[in-house]
Amino acid sequence: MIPRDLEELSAYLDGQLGPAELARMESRLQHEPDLESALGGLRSTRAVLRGMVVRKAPRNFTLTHALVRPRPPLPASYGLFRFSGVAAAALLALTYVLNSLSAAPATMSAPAPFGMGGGAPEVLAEEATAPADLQAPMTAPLATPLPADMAQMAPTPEQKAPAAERATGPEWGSAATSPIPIAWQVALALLTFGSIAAALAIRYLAAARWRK
Amino acid sequence: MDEAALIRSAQGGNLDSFNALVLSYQDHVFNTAFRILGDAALADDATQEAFLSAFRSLRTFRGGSFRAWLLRTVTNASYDELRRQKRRPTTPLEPQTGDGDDLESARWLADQTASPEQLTEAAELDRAIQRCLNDLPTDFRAVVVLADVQGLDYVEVAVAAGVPLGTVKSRLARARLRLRECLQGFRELLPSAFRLSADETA
Repeated sequence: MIPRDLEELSAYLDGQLGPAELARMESRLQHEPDLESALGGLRSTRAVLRGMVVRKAPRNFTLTHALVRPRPPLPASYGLFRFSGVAAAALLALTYVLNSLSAAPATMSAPAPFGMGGGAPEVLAEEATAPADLQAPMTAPLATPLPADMAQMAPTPEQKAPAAERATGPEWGSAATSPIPIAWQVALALLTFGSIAAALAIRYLAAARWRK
Repeated sequence: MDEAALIRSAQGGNLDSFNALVLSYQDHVFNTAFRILGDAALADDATQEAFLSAFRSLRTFRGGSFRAWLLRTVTNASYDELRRQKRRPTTPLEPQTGDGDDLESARWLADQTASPEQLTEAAELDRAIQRCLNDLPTDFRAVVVLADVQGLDYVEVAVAAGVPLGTVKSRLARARLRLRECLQGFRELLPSAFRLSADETA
């Protein structure tokens, strides 16, 4: 017997054939003794299974509160706060990563110490014309004496101020040029802690109501 | 309280309502687990796990046949139990007969007024059928237990077994064929009305 015949016979036995299939099967059963015999075998098998002893539950399977440790039904707002807390925390972490990534190249490209050629080009161009007698006091604070040609490139006192400002630039630059402003990070931190606190409060109140 | 009201109440977390459902269905659930697992102790574990799981996931029940939904949890719990047994095969502590079968206890039997001979015969037949069921692949066994032992219709079996309707038809037909062949080895135990003729088994 082909598998399709077997499936149709089994479904016929259970009354699961559609009208067209049913008519076709009944017609075949009248003309095909093998099919009729196989149907008898399936019917007997089903009858044996249906006649099996019913195993009754050996004990009661009722649950206790201790067994299930029921969790109180939580309002939809709990899920909302929990999600926003997690999302805000993830965003906060992302802002730190982005800021630290952008700060690293800024530090590496910061202007070299004063007198080491880190000044702006326009300043250096004017430095070349500075009087020689002004060079000594300018280079005195440096730990390493400058070679004569480099010393001549040192800026005049008037030019020193803007250059010094640029020298201290990187510290301000990392905060001022961060892709994510600190105010945003503070807001995200507040959102994180606020959402988590609200979710915990909702859960606590729901549990308290549940215990009553 | 009717079943729908009990389900709604249990979905709201009422354990007493759920326990009323447990008492209504525990025989069905245990019997299903027993027929799939073929072992009373394992069926006990699977039944308890199924009810726990059902209570915890009751909110996911969206109507339809509650019996089919519940039997799906016990079918899954039975599959889990079988997987656990494969990983950690254990030796049962219960006394066994010489051929390795668990000793039957009269309390399991439906007809408590039967004579000792009848009880023995019924127990032997039951063991024989269970042995044939155990020889089936697990997926086939679950479908035939749900359809022929528990009496679910095809749609309910599809829900309980978590398979499409076409798969139910196919598995059920093949399972019945294999059972028919297996039961031929126990013809003398079968009631005369159910004895399969040589033609029927060809």
